[in-house]
Amino acid sequence: MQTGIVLALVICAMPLLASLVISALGKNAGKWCDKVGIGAMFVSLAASVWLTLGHHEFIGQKWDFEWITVAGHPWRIGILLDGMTFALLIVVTLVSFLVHLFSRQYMHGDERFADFFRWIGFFTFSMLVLVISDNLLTLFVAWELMGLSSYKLIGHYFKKESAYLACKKAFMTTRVGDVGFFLALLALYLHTGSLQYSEIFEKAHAGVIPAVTITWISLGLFMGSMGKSAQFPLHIWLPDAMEGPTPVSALIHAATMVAAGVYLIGRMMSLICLSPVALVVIACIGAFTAIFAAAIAFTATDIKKVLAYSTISQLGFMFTALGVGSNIAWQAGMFHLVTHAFFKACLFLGSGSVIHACHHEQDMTRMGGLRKKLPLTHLTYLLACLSIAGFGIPMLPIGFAGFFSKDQILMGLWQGNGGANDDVYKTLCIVLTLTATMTSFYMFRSYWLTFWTKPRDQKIHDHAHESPWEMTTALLVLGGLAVVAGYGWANIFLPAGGEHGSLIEGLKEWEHEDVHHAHIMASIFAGFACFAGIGLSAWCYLTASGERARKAARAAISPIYNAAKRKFFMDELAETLVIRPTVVLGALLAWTDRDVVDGVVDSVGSSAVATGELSAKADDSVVDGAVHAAADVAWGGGWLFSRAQTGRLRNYFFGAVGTVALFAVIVLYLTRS
Amino acid sequence: MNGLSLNHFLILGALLFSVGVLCVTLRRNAIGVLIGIEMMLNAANVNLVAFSRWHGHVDGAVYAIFVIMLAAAEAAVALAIVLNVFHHSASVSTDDYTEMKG
Amino acid sequence: MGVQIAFWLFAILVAGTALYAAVAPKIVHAAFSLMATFFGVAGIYAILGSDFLAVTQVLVYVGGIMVLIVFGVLLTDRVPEEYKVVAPRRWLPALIAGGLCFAAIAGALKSTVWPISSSTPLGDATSTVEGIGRSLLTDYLIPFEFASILLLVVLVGAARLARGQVR
Repeated sequence: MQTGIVLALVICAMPLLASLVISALGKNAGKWCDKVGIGAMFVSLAASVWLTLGHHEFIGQKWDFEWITVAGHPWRIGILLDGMTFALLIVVTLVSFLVHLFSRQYMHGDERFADFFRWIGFFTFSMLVLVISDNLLTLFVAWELMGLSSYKLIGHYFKKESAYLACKKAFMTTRVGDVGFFLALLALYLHTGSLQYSEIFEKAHAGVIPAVTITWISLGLFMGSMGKSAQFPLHIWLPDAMEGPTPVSALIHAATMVAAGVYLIGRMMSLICLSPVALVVIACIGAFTAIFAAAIAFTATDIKKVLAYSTISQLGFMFTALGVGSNIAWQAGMFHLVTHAFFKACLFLGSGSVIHACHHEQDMTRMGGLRKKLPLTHLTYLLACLSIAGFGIPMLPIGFAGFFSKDQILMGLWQGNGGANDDVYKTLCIVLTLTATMTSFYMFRSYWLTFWTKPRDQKIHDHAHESPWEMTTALLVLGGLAVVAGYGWANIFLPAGGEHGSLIEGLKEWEHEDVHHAHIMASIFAGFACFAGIGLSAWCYLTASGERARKAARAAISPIYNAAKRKFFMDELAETLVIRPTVVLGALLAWTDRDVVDGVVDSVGSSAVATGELSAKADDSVVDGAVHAAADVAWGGGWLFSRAQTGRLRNYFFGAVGTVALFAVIVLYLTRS
Repeated sequence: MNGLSLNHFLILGALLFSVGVLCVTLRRNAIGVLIGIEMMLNAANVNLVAFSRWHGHVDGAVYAIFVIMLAAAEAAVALAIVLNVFHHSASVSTDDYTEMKG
Repeated sequence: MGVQIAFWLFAILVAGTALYAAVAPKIVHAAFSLMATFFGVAGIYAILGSDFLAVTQVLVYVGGIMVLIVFGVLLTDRVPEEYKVVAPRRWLPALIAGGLCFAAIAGALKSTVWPISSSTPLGDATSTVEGIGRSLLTDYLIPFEFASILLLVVLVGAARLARGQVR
């Protein structure tokens, strides 16, 4: 086995091992679980760093084995190391390690401390398996395991009604998407006879699958992604999932699990890019989700809810980019996944630090002026906000991580894929520019409201304190990465096309010279979006005139504002369109069962009763007499035999041996010659 | 063999076995029951060895060895159980062990 | 003729002592009577030419099982007399069971026609040690190993059972 494969296995095995050890510790788990979890994740992270540093050597390594033979068809499962795998391995292990470290203090004193570490380790394991697998079968298994662990983690405070409703909602909503995913898997297997990436792509490019089927398969895969990555209309679970502990939100609902859907689409790009229709659908839904969620984020006052809607919005950015179907856009989408993981994890952990400091107060309207109290949290939150806003110097390769990835997304969109739908993509580029402006506005809104302005609740402000070193270390590392992760990352790990790009064969390849014009346009858009958003929010929240203007504007668009505040009635819509019809259908079926089917059965029954009453008369006198006599005989016999049950060993022995011997004698006597 | 036939030994075995049965049925003492069981096992062994001799084959003798081994194991476990029950009910009389009474 | 006399002597010894062991009023007497039975059976083995089994019989039964039984008697026979519940012996069922058994087996023997010669044994009365040893380590190797495992389990189990109530 090659070194890279061994490292990948070690990376995957460590969190699972930690989870199992914590389970095995039993009563002592509370004392050791944090150390076990952090230690295991450290080993995993070290192996991952090794893998990353040697990626030139390890890239392209693969290993598989025959797992099982079903109906004569051998299923091969295994590991594949390529650019995407490296990029996600390092992201997942790093964020997971930091979240472990952070949780050690944040979750301190929780009554289900060990359960938390057990499931977070198991979750990390599932995500890592998903990333390294070389086929859709193990990916699907890991996908579902992640669903399970996120269910357990969102429902961590299951004694709270909202928490257990949230975890149920998350599980059920993603399940809706999984139906599409599963159907797509079946169709793929039906046409190609395999679920291994390489084989699927080879057959798809050879024209084995009809074009219409490719579109349906792609849409099915995207449906799974919509569930997992919270795209409209299956996004409703993610804001509710904030009921879980904040580190969970950072790990699962920002950095990793929601990334799985993006990863799936990125991974299957070589197949999906064969269907222009599917591409446009993905891009449009992504862009719509982006602007839709951004609008809701404007009105949220819970700091975690702002971040939750921002996550949905940023995932929309990624899907829009992936929906273009060109090499630079694909690269941009995956790149944004990586940078987003860092700055969003930083933001979530920062919000966790704030919440921790304010004694579990999450409402931003009761915070304010915390920058002096929480200097390190404030600094890292600012860095991450600048990163998500895409702060940088337009046209020059100097800026925060988000600057590079967002720039590239807009560039990829403006450039299009050279097909018939380029106008659509140009429109989406404008939409996303608007969304990016909104992003920087609402992110800085949360920043101003939390760390600047006057303290609105003096009591909370007075009691606020900076978090312990484990938490600030995690914040600083992520904050630093939110600044520098943009440099070279995309070119090193995500070479679209070229030497190791065989997995995304079939993408539209743009050369460097082609995109010059698009690059200029994207820089202008992104720069405008960033500075306009930040400037506007500073004016609105820091100056008196701005505040007046803000209030006037809010009054002017109050219907829209209120709609956004109610999340555009998505929950109500789901309730009316999906849940209630389902319940009504259930009631209908129950009524059919009870009144129609049962009615027939009952009438048959009552006629039988009438007949029965007639024959009962005859029964009482004749038959009962015989039955009673039989019962009496049986009772007498039973009484007689119960006398034999003396409980004495000797009697039983005598009965057994004597009977056998007696029968032997009788048989001998009868068969004597 | 000097006027001794196979049936001589088999009848002896049958006699020993019957006495074992008699012993088990008659005895109230758990250890007495054990003695009866040992007799029955010995009776089986006599038969096995006699057949082995008449066949001119050692298989019967090997079986007998396994039976002896089994008897040793059975005696050890049975006595451990008897001791345990004795501690429990201060009696070795099987008539006092009436948990199975119907 | 000498062998025949020896057989009858041992047969009477076995039958007599076994009967006494079955009916002796005191369990200690029964135990020692059983020891004599074991010796008699060992003699029968010797007559049958199974020298190895005869020795094993003496070693295991007289040396091992007898000691166990005597220990059992000594350990359980310390209940004061007045507490002993003396149940009446019931001879009838015992005699019926024993008699039926003997009748069944004797009847079977009488009616069976052996495919081998009933009067003259096939083998010659040489030592069986080598044959048994070879059999145990070739044809019966697996039962042999299982037997050793069984004995180990019995060792542990008996120790555990016997001290179970002591603590």
